[in-house]
Amino acid sequence: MNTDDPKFTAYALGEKEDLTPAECAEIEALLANNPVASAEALEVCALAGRLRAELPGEEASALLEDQRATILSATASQAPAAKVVRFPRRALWWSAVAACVVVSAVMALLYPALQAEKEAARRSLAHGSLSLGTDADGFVADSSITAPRITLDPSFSTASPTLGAVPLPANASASPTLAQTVPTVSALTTMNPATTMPSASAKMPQDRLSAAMTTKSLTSDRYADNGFVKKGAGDLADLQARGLREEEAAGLKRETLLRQGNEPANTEAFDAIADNAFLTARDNPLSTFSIDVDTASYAIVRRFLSQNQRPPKGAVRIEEMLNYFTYDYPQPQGDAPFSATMEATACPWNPEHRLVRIGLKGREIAKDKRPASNLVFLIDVSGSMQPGNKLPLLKQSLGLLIDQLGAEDRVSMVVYAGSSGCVLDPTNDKAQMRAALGKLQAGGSTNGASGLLLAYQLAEKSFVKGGTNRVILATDGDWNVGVTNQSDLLDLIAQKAKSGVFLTVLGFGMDNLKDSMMVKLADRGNGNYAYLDTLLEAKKVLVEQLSGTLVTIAKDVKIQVEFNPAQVGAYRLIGYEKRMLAKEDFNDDKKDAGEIGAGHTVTALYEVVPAGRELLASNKRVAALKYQSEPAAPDAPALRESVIAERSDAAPAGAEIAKKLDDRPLMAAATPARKEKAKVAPASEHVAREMLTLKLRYKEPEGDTSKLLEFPLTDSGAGWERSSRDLRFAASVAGYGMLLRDSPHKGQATWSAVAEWAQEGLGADANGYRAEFLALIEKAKAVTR
Amino acid sequence: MPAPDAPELSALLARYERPLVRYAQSITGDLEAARDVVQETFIKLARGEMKDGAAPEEHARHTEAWLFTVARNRALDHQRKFSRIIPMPLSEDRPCGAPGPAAVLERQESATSLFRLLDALSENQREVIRLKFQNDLSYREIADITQLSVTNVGFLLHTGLKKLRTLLREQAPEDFGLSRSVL
Repeated sequence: MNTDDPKFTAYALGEKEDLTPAECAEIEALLANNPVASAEALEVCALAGRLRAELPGEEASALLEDQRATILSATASQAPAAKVVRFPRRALWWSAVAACVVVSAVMALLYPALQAEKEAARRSLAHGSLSLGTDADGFVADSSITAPRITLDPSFSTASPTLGAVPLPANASASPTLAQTVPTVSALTTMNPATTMPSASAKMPQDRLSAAMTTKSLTSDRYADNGFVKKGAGDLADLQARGLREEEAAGLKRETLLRQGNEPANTEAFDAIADNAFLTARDNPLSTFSIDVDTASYAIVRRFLSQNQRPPKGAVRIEEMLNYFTYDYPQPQGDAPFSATMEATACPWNPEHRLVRIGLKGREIAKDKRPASNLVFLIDVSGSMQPGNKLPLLKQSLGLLIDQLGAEDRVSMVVYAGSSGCVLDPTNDKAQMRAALGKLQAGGSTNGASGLLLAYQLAEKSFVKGGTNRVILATDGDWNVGVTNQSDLLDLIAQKAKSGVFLTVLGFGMDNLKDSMMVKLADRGNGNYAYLDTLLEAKKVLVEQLSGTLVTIAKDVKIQVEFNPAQVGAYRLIGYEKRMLAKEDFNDDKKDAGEIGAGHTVTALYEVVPAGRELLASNKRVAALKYQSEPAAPDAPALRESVIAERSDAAPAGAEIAKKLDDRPLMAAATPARKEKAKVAPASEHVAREMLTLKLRYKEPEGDTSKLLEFPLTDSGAGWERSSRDLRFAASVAGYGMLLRDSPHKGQATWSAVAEWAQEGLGADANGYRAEFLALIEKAKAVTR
Repeated sequence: MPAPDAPELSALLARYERPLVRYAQSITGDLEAARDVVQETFIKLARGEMKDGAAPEEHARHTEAWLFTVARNRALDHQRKFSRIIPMPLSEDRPCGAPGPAAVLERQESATSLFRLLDALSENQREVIRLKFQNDLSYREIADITQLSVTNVGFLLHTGLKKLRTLLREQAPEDFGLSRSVL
């Protein structure tokens, strides 16, 4: 069963009369598991509703008087009896409405249920028994919090004298609550149970129950809202197995559906993002993510603001905003393809915290040193590309790119609409390129898949060894005909990326930009994604940063930051929510990650809570562990030592580290076991003072094995006033993103503060991008008021 | 099935004459022919030519489907007979100045893109979509009327709706979006 089965449409229209119960069940399962299917069903419902509303309004003439008289005289009229004439009841309409409700309800109810079931099954397989493993941790953590609090509850006051010494009765008396809490928790929390739990402070048992229930209902909503989730159940389980937080694993697309419901005139699709939470350095010393050089989010947000609209939160990806700007990082030394720079300062939106910037810069390649290119333009000429900000802008933009090409560079061109075809065979003749570009016209529907296939074939045919081989896809992303099975499409792209043909995605337009799809395409295709809203933006991407856009100097670049619990209480990676990797992925060369282009800069910010500083209650998500020493109280000196010891166990300093990491089995041993064996290995003093170690892994563009770079950082404790311009500017961009996302972590950030930081960090600003950002802050301030 | 009596017949007339004329016109493309077709259809009904085929509680639905079936057959007969004749518009046929059906149709078309898009569908698809959404008939009733199998009807509706969605999305994204607010 798939959405292309007429039975699927019949179901969506409420026509179940001729469907067998098995077919109904099959469709319901499809709706529950496949968000694309549920979205399609909703579309069918909507169209049906519109047809029902509009078609009966079509002109319908009556008979002529004499015709009516002829008919009435044709009947042998009897004595007129009062007879009630009943017309068919309009039952179908209601059944259709009901079908739509069912479609939504199935999504709302079945999806989380199925996920929970699958999750439970997966766990019992993975752990042998469901009652052990992470769920048990979650359970115990709960009870250990709840039990002491019970003494505060008057209803348990008689038991209170013994509670401190004998926790069992407390647990027993609280069991009704816990019993109800546990299934909820076990069904919904993931490998990191704490992250989805509400604040643990001062909760009565009843509160905990209701809080847990709230979590459940929120989570259900989230699943229900999963409009176009691309990740199938298997994927989801896989992601969760890799230890990602639930929010990421679910790949939330709440906003997609919300937008469908509330802002119907817009069909843009943005994935929702849940902010990375604070993690304690003690429990999660490793923070691992893939670099990202996409910049689209910045331009998309700019476009929303320019129309006086607040951008949907899912469109605000802070990492893409940070990376929209170039920063003054040094050129790499030696053989390394990129340099790494780090800096720490006082966090401007939370002075108690530190703000750490990690900056990478790819080796620059002079224009005339750029290797020969084999570019295939894959151009969407479907009807939806007609507006001036799409195909016409696209033609101008690619015209700019052609101007930049040298004699060695070859271009071919494939267009796709209802069908796809090659409109320019590989050539280095710019006149031919321009002529082909000039002839493009919009019309027809979009079959992206077959065009893509053709483009990759062309690229492979004229492959330039050691050169740039790239498909440049220019589209509004509205793929509506043909193979739009997204996972197939993504698989295809990933497979082609391995053959050395990379992908650049240029997004256009504003009506139906499928942002989330573009992000994924670029991600899987070893590529980059830029959104071109103006010719100026095209100039930035295709002229000023052409080398970065075209020439990949390192691929699968992963960052792993190891925090030193002696210095760091907790940390939070700002942005990169969609780029998080499991810690094991860092050393796994099979795991795909981001690419860095020539001259590209990549910036990541961490908000760090220094060790010994009590976490704010709102950030304290991690419940104390029963089996691991005592609850974290970092100001206790004794504990400080044990923390250092653990650090030295988790990551021995020095040159050994690479080997040790490589030898480590893929799944890290259970923490408690490791801890038992850990003997206090005194770390050298300067290592103990280090705040973190930045580890980078990358591959040469055509290589298969990764190389490792390491850089330690010791926080000098420098205040904001001594921070660099670039850091101030980056902090401002992060603040701008957090305010637009209304992030729970925005702290004291305000629009005027953000503007001030940007002003301080303005610098030379040769291209005026930073000045434009200042204007955008003003705009955002007005729009979000 | 006994012939309907006068009150019943006039009730049926009042209820179905316009939908039937519209439906017949969608086949004949001509209002006068459509009126003739519907007149003949009702005369057959008045003469008791409708076969009894349904339980009493199904009677009304049965009648409705029967009316559409007969109208459709008559309209198709008309089509077959006249399809090779090119109609000559005669000025005296119509009072001067009054807009002809074509003009009326045109005006409606400009009012909403939906009717225009329907033209892009195949005749079969258009017909089942009309029966389904304009006249609110079920798959089975449509199958009875059009002499197609239920599966065929399902297929035509499926492909027709799919095409409409595609067309709507690319021709008028705003329109398409608005349609979502209907439900």
